Amino acid sequence: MNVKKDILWRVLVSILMLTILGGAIVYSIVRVQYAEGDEWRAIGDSLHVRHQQIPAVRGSIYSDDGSLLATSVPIYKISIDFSVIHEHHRDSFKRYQSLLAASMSKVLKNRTEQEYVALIQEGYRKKRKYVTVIRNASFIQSKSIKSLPIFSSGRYKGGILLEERTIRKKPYYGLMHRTIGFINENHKGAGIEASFDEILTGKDGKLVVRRLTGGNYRPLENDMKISAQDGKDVFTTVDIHLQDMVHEALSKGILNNEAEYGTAVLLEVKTGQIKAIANIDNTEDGLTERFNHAIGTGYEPGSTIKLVSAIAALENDDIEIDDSVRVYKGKYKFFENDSIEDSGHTKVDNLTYQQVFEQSSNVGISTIAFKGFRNDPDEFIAYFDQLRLTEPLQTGIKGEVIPTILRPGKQGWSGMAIPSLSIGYSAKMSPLHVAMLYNAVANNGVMMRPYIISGTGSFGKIETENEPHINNKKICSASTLQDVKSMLEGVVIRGTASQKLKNLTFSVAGKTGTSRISDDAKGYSKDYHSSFVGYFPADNPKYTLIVLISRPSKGRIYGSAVALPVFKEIALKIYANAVHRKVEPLDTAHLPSLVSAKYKYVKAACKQLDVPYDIDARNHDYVRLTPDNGELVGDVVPFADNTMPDVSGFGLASCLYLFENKGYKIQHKGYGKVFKQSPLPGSKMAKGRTIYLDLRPNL
Amino acid sequence: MSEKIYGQSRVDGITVLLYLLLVFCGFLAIYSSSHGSDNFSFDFSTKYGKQLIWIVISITLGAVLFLMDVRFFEAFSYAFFIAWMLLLFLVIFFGKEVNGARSWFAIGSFRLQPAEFAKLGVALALSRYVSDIDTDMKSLRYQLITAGIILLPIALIVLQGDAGSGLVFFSFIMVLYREGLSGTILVIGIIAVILSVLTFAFGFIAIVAALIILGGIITAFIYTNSRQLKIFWLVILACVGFTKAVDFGFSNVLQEHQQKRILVMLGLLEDPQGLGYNVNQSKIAIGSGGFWGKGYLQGTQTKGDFVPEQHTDFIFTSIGEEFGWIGSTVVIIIFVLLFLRISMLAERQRSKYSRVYAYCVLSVLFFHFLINIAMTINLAPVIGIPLPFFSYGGSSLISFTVLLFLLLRLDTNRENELDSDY
Repeated sequence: MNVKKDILWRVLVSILMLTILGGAIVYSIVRVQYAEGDEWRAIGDSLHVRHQQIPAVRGSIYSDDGSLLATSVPIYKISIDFSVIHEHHRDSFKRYQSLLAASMSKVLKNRTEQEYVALIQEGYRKKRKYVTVIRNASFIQSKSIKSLPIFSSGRYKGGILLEERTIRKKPYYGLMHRTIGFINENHKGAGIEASFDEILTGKDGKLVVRRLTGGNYRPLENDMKISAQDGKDVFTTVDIHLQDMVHEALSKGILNNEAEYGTAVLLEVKTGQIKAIANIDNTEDGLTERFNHAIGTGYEPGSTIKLVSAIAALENDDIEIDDSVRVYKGKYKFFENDSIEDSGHTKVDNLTYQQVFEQSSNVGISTIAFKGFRNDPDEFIAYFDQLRLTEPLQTGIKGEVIPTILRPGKQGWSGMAIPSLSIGYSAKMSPLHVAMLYNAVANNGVMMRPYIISGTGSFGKIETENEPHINNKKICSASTLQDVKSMLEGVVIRGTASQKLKNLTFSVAGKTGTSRISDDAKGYSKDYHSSFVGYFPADNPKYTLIVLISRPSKGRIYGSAVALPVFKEIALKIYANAVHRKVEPLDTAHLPSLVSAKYKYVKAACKQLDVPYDIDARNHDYVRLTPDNGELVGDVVPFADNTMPDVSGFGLASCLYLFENKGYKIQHKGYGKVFKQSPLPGSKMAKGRTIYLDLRPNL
Repeated sequence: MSEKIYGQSRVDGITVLLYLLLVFCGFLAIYSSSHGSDNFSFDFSTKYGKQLIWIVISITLGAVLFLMDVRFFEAFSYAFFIAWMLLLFLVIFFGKEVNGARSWFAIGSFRLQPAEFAKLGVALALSRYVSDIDTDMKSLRYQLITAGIILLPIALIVLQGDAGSGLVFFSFIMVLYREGLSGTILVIGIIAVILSVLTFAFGFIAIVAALIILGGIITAFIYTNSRQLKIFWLVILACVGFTKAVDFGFSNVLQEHQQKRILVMLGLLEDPQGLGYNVNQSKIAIGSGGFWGKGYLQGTQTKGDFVPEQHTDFIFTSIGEEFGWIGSTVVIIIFVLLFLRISMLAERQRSKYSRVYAYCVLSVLFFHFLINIAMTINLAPVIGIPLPFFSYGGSSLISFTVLLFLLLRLDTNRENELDSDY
């Protein structure tokens, strides 16, 4: 009995212990699942549910005819997960492996067929999970790889993994490289890419994804998706053909003169649109665009600014262009140690003011300016202000230079300031400022603000357009305008530019400029800015062009010798090619003339060909696309069972598909597209009746 | 009982049913945790595929046991024991190292863990020895021999570097207690565990100080009898000595990762990315299951492969996540029912050998169950021992099945045994 009691007691103790321990476990599970449940769930969710960004597609940059200057294209990293193939295609793998190797070698071209065979076999044998076969496959390449047998079963059954990323491509590489600019991951950069980064970038979307085995993510099937807003396209005023000419001619000029850099800007007179802008540095690596000198470099323009002095003198009634001006045989001493000299052409004592300008006599210009404004220097400088040469251009592109000008009362101001300013020193501005000034003369005194962005939009279509902006409605009186025009034409006919611009079939007006480059620390050096700025045709100006070449080193320094040949070459080519060319907004010849098919196919085709289209139809609708103003415009062709649709423009195949599927018969004559049909659109049709179609090629 | 067939009772259907239930649930959990997608498919080269093969082999082996003579096991108990001890010894030299422990024989892709089977050997040997007519648990000599049977495999397994599996053998103490081991030893054992934990937590000095203060208080206010006082202070002294030994053993015998595991489990060390990672992930899985669970194959922790070793030692998390509190409780209830059933079987055995063996089975299963689930919810340190019938792995499934079915085999023979006295 005692033994039995003892046993019973022992069993009870055991059971008690078990109960306590078991209770502790149950309690703990309850605690983990209830009291702490939310907390653990939250931690869990944070581990395997996460937000994934849907990157917005960066907008493209277009030229004025819709050519792509910069665009984002997808490239694909293709990898193979052999463990998936091992799991799902064990039967067919052996059969297909040589086909796969051959096709991959043929499409991707980065390995030989033998190499692919080895790669595939090894990967399969070792069940490799992530074998990258190429990092930068194009869309087309990735598509054809994806359609191979086995791979066509997709990521989870076929083991093919495509990772897309986009790279920025500039199809006209080199042209306008700097003006188009660039952007890095931190959204720092230059040019249009940086200046319009916010517009181009768009807004990334968000997607909630859940982690699966093997580190893959799958979207959650819910509406927690914020679609990405793709970036807007930016449209420029640049004409890619003109740009090409300007670029080429400028390159030649820089090489011929072994210059440090050069810049050329072509403006459309009426609007101020920048049709071409080239900035070329002569570096150890050859000619390259690396700085936007046209808007970013401040320089002392030299003689080209004499246009301002002339306008000031004429407006101030200091002189008329026929008045005789003393030029002191090319050297005049303003003060004891300060004299101004001409560059060596002047052998006479007197010239008319027009001759002074045409021959670019420093003495003539500066003495007149000095006489007229020495008592009221502010009034002289007011002309610079009014001509917008002392303020930034506001082209919209980052990195514009802020002009400087010597003003009375400021450090460095002296009695020589006006003579100096009058011949293009003591004031710094960008080449584009000077071009803007000459463009105003060409545009009958209306100064347009130079601009390069014509608008923003999407799918290759402008939505917000930038209108031309008038900087100054009237830069001077009509008579002054007449006078300066005649002087600018005179420069070409008789003056400093006459040698080079003889025998042109069209008239040019302009001005040479040669200025010493001042090194701020050491004063003026022996290096020069050599420039020519003008417009053509002079009688009915279309374009203004400035060419500036810095530090030519082949002995030639004058604008007429260095910059003018470049100007001439560009003007000649443009006149031959562009002035007479009828510019169309978009070459519709490149668009398919007519597409009529099921909406989903049309949509897919347009998308793939990157053709802009404007239709909204349901998937089962038929649509007809017609080119209209550079875009495909679609109309929907509804097809109710017993009503005859309008099938004009449809191909025979589409009609056969459309009607015979519904039990109608077709009789047709001719070939091409439907141009006549019976019954007429909208007619009620009995089941099984015959439809007559007349077809003609190329409607 | 009337179900006598050729002098044998029927196989205990309840136990078999519970067994099959557990194996089935285990397979479901393994399928979920080792199957990548949430679609159904089947492949024998995967973990769940292999487990299915193990299940078939186990049940077949279990059935084979019924064809064998009962006395065979009793007669060869020691032989089994010695054979497995030999294997445990050999594996130290010829084993394949997995996760820092050299406890696996590897023949091709087939791997065998002798420690799993050693439980069976110890259970048989212990049953045989304890049921021996000469054995008296009150005598020191027998106690020492019994201790040897248990401690030998522990020593060998610890030498393999797998202290966790070694701990399992301590569960046999429960059997010995049932068979007459003095309760004092158990109390001493419990005090030792408590002292150890406190030592890890507060350090040697603090514990010694606390013991002395406790002793002082008791001396001053409670005890008057000087003889009792003497004994009491001897006990205190013994505790101090033990604490010192624990402290020394902890710092000098245990390896660093074992020390860390203990500290992490006791909440003395935060290590969510390292050793605490398993437990943290496991708690996330169980905790996020909530009441009803996320549904079969829908567990994100399970599918995401977040819980390390989920298909083996952490298989319970898969149940907790996908079937929630309900599922966990059902599994626990099945286990408890099984344990109750085994203890019933134990008590109805007429032969002492069978009864001791039944308690051995109960102890081993219970210990695995307790520690395994406790470690997934951070009640016990992570010592890699499987959940019986659930965890992936042939060695453990076969050994547990044989362990259990042998009991059933003995049970069918109980009518032929003479009543043994308690």
